[in-house]
Amino acid sequence: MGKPPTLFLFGQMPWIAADTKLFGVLLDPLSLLMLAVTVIIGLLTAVFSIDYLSDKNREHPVTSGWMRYYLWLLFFIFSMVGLALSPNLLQFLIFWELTTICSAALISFYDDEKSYRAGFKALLMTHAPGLFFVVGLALVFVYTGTFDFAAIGKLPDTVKASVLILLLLAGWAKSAQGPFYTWIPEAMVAPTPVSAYLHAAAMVKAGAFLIARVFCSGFEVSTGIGLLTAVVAVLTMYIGLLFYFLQDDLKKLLAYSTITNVGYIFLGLGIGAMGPVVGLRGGLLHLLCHAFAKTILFLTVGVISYCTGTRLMSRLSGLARGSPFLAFAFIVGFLSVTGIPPFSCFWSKFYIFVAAFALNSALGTVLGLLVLGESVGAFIWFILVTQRVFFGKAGSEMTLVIPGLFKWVLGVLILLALLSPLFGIPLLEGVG
Amino acid sequence: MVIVELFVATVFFGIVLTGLSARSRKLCGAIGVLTVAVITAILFFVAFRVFTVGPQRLPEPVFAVPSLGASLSISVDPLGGLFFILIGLISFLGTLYSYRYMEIYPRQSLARFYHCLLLFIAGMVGVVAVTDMFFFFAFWEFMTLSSYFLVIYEMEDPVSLRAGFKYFIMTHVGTIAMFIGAILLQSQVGSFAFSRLREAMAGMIETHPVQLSIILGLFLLGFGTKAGMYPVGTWLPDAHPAAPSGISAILSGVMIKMGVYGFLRLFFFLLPFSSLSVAYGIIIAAFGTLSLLMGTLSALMQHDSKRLLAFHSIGQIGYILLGIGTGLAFLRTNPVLSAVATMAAIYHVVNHAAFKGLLFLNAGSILYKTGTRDLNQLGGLYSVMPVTAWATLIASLSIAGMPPFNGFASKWLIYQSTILGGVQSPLFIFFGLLAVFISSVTLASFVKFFSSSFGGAMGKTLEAGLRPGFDVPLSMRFSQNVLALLCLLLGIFPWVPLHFILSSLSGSEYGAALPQSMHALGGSWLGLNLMMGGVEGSGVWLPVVGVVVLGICLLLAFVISRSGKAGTRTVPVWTCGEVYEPDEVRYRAGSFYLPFVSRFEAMVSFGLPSIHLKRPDRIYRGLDFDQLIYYPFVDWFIRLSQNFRRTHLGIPQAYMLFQVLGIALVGAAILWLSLT
Repeated sequence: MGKPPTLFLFGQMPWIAADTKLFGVLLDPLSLLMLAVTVIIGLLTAVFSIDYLSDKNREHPVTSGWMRYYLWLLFFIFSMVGLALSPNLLQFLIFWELTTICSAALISFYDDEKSYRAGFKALLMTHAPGLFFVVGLALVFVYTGTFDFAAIGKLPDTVKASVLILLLLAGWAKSAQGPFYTWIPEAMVAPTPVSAYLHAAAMVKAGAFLIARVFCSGFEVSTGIGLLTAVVAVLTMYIGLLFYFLQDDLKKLLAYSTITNVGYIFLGLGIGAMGPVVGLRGGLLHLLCHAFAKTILFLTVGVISYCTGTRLMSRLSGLARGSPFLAFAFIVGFLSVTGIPPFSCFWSKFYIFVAAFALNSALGTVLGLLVLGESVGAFIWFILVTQRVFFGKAGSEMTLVIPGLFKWVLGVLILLALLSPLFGIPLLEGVG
Repeated sequence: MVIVELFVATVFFGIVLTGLSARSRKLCGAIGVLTVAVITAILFFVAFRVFTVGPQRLPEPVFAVPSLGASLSISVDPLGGLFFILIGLISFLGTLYSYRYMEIYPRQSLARFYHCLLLFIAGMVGVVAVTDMFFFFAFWEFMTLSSYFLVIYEMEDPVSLRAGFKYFIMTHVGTIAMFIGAILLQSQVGSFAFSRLREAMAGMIETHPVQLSIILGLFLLGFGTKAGMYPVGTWLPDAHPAAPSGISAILSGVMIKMGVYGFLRLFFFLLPFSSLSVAYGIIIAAFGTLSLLMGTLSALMQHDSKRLLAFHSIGQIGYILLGIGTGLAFLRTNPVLSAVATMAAIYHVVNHAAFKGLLFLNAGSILYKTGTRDLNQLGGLYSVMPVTAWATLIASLSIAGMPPFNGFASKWLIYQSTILGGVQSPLFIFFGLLAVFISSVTLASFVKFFSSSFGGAMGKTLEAGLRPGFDVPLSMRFSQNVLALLCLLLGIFPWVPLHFILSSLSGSEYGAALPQSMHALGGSWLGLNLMMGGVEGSGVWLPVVGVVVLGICLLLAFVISRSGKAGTRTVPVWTCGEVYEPDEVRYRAGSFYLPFVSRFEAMVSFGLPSIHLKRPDRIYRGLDFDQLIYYPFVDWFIRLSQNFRRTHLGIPQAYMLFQVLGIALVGAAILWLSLT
């Protein structure tokens, strides 16, 4: 914050004739942001999993396979940290692909036909567009001789545009944007802590993080690319919103909400590329704020399925009577995600709206209004869901017995969700 | 200043302590009331300093967001001080009332109630205290959020949930409209501070008047939704009955006035005067007249006591908006008239808080005592609740605009300003006449309210279901009586509140044209001596004289009856000599005004058409990229691969043929490359 980024590089590969060392650690506001999300939520997820993956889980009793789970989870945390600290595109790609493997392994944890199909689909749909990333990487190296993010700016115009589009395609697939969204709803067969961490807080943000790194490297991104990013983001938001209304499964609803919110991040980045720097900051702030908020929601749904055996909205009602704390956690989560002050995503969404209107053009106004429409639509739906599941006459389940560990984790997350804007806003003041 | 820290600490400790003492309902309630008392004391102290010393502001903003150009700067000017007094008083009385009232919710958590209430009060204070549009907006939404949880306090009841949902969504949409307006203004100057937005508006009057007009319209929508303006205030009749009565009093008494505060701040303090102000003045006055018409007429048909009162809130807000609109329209052409109109509107804000708060507390007392809100089932409650009955009578007379109570004074000023202003622009005479007519409709409605609940004879079923004890508990009676006394005093000494209201308009668009003292309105605490249009005594109202005369007459009547030694007999209430059960022959609330109800029912129906959307299956099938693209692609690829398997013939000669062909192909390629 205010200091120049810390960079520490080492290592060479004999068959790549590059000027600078290839691997290393880069500490700047962006990497700090991603680290905060990855490491803190990773820790809390791992702790949550201790009690979640047991035979007392009414939805999915687990009696074996813990070693496999924690191996892949910790390996994933390692990969994400490496990705967050990557100083150039090469290291980024390597850790990117490692996260893909971890995700596929964790999705298929429950060892049945559906899980394997879902894991394989996720693997295929995130890896194949990753090949675009490889091509983009190769183009950058061939033309400039380095793998740095800023090197993209030194490319001739058409090549630069192609590289950016290739990277965008890879990022969209990883983050389940645009037409690539279909792997995430099916990936909800994973254990809920995995869904919370990988597919809400960390891995899906990796695609957005790639684009953020590229757009924030200090070179001029063409307006067309910014516009493309923004338009695809808005389309994704509306696709996500449309699918909200069909869902009975709470996790699938949250999955579509994740898609929509990562769309906000891309929108912020896209608008930021078109001019107003507050858009870049808004997108990144949304990355931070949404991560904590969505994790609360997912883990609350996890506790519900642990205690009651179901996560279908049609079977749940009046849960606030059974556990006021759970209702409180879910309400904080949903208010945070939909952006009601003083909760976290209000600040980041406000940044993005200000950016949209700061474009001072008809396009900006249209984008802003479309996004506001999505925000209101999501808010309406979530309030109805909350009223359906938590309020109203209590169903057959009376007092829910919740293990203390779950309450601690949720409590810490609520606190972090409330405080994240205080951390994020000053951190991002210097970005862009 | 340490005041802000003290305030925050009070709210924080209130939340913690009520949370810890949640098991013991009495202790929890006592802590809640004590916390609100401390908050009220702080608010009164700040208001006192504002009116004696001058506007109070924090030198440094608490928190700044440079990327947005927003900073949490706290500053309380006399208008803010006035609203502080209002918030403090009504919140305290409502909370004191709730101390015993909450007994009707034995199964709901009391800690949740006090937490939401404290956050709600904090939200309202925040709205009034900030001078930055971004944080204004943040506190505004926060206020809506905390009051939502109070409206759905009875969380198992689907009616409450629907009411809360409608409330939150409608105010949220209104707020988003405001939000768009605020951001459009901010994009001109890059900052959300009120002073900078004022510059933005001044600039836009020259360059983009149409855009400014749209922005003002968006703000009108937003503030109007919160204030309960027709047609966007239709959430009121559902939300106010659903909340506990102490909260209904605060919602109707103070929270909807936040919308009015928004109107005042925007149109009188931020918007530089231009033809837009005049246009919007007329628009606001028109919406005000529409609200007072539709709200009060609909109230005439209600038989749920709190729903009736909520419709009247819409109506009375109409009066306030009419006053504001008149003030805005005549700002430059007749400053004194305009000042009178605006001051009348703010005076009506204060009065409405007093009598509507009192009315909601009364409806709550009836609910507490009898267990029902349905006026059709009530009757004869005077015998068991005499003190509440007198308070209700005072409140009913106040809202109907009966002298010497406070409603009369503010309504009289509104009539004066609209009708005298109508000399210049006849539209306002029309508005004024409608306002006078609706005043009589209000009286009719409250005759119904009072007589069907307190008058007549009590039915057997009602009598059996009464909560024992004299009237309602002391804390509830105390709140009611304080408000009733206030209604009386504000009416007898109108000059006192008007003096403060006049000083609250300093710093506004009136500028130097604001009458420097109460000279234009008579200079004594005995009454008002209006001087409008240059005519001294164009309206004189000396309530003290009236009260003194009334007092003398009452004294005379008392002396005469005593000296004539007239005996009194206590007899049961006369029910037309029949010996039927009161339940059978009582004139029910629903029977009032039947010819009118049957004629106008369709016109003032407030129900929104229920929207049934068919699920657009084609869109969903179009978005199912799995079925459309990916699976077909995978299937095609698999078929392609399977077809390719056919090349594995298993015949060695075929493979040798492939090798020969391959070598030939490679040789040809090398030849071609070496030649080019």
